[in-house]
Amino acid sequence: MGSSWEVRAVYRQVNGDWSGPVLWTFTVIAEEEEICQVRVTSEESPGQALLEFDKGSGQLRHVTLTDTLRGEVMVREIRINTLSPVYPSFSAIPFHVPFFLYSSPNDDFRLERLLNGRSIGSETLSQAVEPVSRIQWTSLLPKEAQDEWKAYDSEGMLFSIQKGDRLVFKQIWFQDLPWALYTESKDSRAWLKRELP
Amino acid sequence: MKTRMAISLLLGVMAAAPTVMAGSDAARVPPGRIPWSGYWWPMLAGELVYGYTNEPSPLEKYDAYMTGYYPAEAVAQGLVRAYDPDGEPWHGHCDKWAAASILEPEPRQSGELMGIPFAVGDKKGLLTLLYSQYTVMTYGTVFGGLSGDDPDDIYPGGADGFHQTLINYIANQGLPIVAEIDPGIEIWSYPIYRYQMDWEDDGDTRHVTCTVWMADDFVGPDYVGTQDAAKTYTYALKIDQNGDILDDPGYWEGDSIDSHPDFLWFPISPVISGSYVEEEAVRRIVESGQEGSDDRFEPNNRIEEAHPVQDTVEYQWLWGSARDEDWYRVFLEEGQDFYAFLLSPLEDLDVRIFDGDGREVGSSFPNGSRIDVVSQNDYYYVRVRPEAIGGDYYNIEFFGSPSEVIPHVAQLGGWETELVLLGQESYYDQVRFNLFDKDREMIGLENAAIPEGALVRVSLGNLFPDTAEEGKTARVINLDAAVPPHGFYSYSAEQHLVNMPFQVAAAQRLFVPRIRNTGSWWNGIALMNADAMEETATTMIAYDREGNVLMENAFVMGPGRNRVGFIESFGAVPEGTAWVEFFSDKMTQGLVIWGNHQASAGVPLLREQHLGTTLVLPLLATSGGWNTEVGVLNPNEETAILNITAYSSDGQASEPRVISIAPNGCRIGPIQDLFQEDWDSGFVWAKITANRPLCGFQSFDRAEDEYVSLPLQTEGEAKTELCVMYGPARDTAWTGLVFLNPHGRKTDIWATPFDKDGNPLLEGGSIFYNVPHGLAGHQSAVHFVEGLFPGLPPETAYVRVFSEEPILGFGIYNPGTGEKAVDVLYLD
Repeated sequence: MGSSWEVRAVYRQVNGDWSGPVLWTFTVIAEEEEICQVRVTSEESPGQALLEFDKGSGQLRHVTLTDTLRGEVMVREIRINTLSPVYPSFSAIPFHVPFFLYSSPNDDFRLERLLNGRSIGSETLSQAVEPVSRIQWTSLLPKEAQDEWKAYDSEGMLFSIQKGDRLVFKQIWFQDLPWALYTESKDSRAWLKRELP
Repeated sequence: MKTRMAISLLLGVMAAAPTVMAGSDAARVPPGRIPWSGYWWPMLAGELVYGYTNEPSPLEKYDAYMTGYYPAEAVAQGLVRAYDPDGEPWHGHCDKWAAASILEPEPRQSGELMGIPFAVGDKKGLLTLLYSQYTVMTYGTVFGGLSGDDPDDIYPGGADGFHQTLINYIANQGLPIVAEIDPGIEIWSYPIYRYQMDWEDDGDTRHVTCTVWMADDFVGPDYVGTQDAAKTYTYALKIDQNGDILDDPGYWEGDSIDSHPDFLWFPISPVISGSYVEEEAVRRIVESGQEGSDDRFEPNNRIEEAHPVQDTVEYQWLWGSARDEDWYRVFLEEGQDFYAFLLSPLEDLDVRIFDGDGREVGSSFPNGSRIDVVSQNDYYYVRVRPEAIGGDYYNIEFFGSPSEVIPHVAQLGGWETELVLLGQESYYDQVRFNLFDKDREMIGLENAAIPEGALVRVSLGNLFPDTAEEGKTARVINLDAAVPPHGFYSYSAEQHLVNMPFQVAAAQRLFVPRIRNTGSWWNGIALMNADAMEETATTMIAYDREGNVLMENAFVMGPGRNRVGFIESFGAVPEGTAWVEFFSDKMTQGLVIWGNHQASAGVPLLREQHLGTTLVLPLLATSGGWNTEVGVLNPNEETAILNITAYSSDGQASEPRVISIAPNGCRIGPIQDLFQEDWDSGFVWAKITANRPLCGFQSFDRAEDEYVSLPLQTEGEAKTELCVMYGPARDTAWTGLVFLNPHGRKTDIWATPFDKDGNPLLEGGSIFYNVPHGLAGHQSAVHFVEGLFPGLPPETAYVRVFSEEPILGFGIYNPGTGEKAVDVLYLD
């Protein structure tokens, strides 16, 4: 509890350009027998999220989004009822999470979510996992992230989550890092900020 | 508030007949969340920068609010990011407006801050710019017409994605959602806040007719409220036997096959780092009301309270409120001319200029007042007085005509000072020459006509025959012009010729990049205090090659005074001194001339404007008797690491050679020493990249009596237009030119010759270099001017050189006046 990490995210604009980076801070605020709660905030954005993970499966179970619209604070609850990779809905916070539990998690998954208690549909996602060498994962990163991680030499795991033939997100994870080093979706790119020793 | 309604009707009840179900659904966001209409600010028109009424633009008002004047930083940014006269007609700010119209309350009334009125359109425009970048949730991806782009990919798939996302936002959350309604390459974003869906089920297919209502941007900037625009789409979805929609993309039907939204998106928040307007300032402007407030220069109602104007710059408009009398203070130098000019909606303002004793010294003209020749260095006062009505605003500029300072006038010992001027576009063609003595008293004032395009040489000795020998410094003023005079000035005596460029800014740190202390070499220094009102304390610091301080000496220069002499007269220079710094508490200017009894050359004292992390040596002359020397200074407190790359005549780069220069150290010597064992006589130019900004010089010499120097150029100095301000008088003179294309793209280069009066000699025609190949990337061209541009008419006085891509260049010339006199020709 209390551990934290930072993630930089850039967003694809409507005209196809990428935005400047927004720095999101992830902080573990509660860790109990079965759940772990992580708060995500940013000094550059009024939005924040409270993420609740199932410790046994690593499954993201519950998300509380707090945003501001015209000065009005807006709170939304998203509940994930299935064991599945999860990608953000209704939020720009990069809380994409693959499914970790199985030893060979290349499979199809059913993602069912409730927004404020109401179903927002059910969809099938497929997940593929493969090891990636340093050269391979470095080549996937944008230039800024490459510069930040050029001294990190480790083999990682690349998760690719698709819906049908469309990529939903891909993500690179390492054993010794608290969060995905890199996440890419159709509308955002996010990378872990490297902590200097 | 959600107003969803679902009705199912059993239309067919006969057991044998197919069962057709129909239904409908409608929802709208609560009233407080309806997006507001706003203008889409097309890039072609650039009204955010140039304005949408006869008032200053939203960005000009924003700059005035932030700084007191406009244009400033935001307008400069807007010229790049909010205006594109060559752009597509549909390029604009519709997405930024759509984001603001959802997330921000609508500005519904005009306001005023610091005397600046902000109309509804100004406020909406600035809110739109606040969302120059935004965090976003996107449903689908933009179709840009490229391979792999899909106009039908609204996530989680096609028409189903459109249908579900509308419901998830508008019905389930009471939130608008933005649609990019053009499935082609154009982008038109509109915030949808209401829908009506009607459907009929046919087996496993639901045929939906969906009408959406959007806030329109086809309104004027000052429009208040929401103007509706509606669109109707038809599509089919897959359903199960219970009528629940399946996870399937569906498909568009009817006219919607070709005309449907490309994707949907929802803005989350602005990305503050991506905007060029400050969030807090925009919010203060948006929330401003009609209570009014006076301008930021108050209190300035009396001469004693006059607001000090730091910069007198043309087209920089101060924003004042005309509620009462306002006073401004400017510092003017003797010999200068000065204008106070109003640009204002009011016509009944009285503008006058006074000296410190309250005597009126300006002459009024419509909308302003001016002083033709300022009589002495002093503070002067401008009064703006509302004559009749008050309460409105005015915009006023204070400026003097742009000028160049010559920090040393050489007229003794056979030396002459000459200027070469190329007439610039101006309201009229007068250039004024002011001559100052050692006490900084103006002892001469002459006007001369330099018509636009004409190349005129002016000898200060001829211009001021009676006072030239007393002259110590001079100023050249381009009267009633917006740009400083173009050209250079020269010192010459027998075989000696030293040229100095104009447009060298004053600075507090000046560097003498080399001390020549062998044989008969001397180092002549001219140093001038550019502050005409206050003395400056200057410290001279001598460094060796390793950056060790060998000597420091402090002295004082009076206001506007110059000091000229051998380097030793500024302070004893110990053996081993490689270069010298002059550090002053005021802005200073100066130059160095290295000479002996046979030849001389010099450069302006190097300063911040000469610093760069990429320096270029366009010519490495090592044949035909020529030698090339290079000096590189590291005026930093940390070691500099240099990568030096040389290029051969075919543009091939050498392996970079890496060297380091100690803090405050330097490397000076023949070009071959820089490369040592890597030197190759086939190298023709070189580039230095460093981890911190450096500066330096290049020198070329031949047979001990031809000597040329110039500062190292930075890559950023490359231009697409250069001017060779010296004609090829082939019987007595020669002009050699060097052009370098430092980037990778080939460029065409062509020259237009002019006579001395500025008339084109080829009736608008040009001579191309190296047709049809031009100059390839990373290659240089070195030749006499006639060799580069064959067919130059004999009466050519100067040549304008144009290039598709930015190039660097300089010349070396012998004007034919002295037997061996050669020097650099700066291409302005």
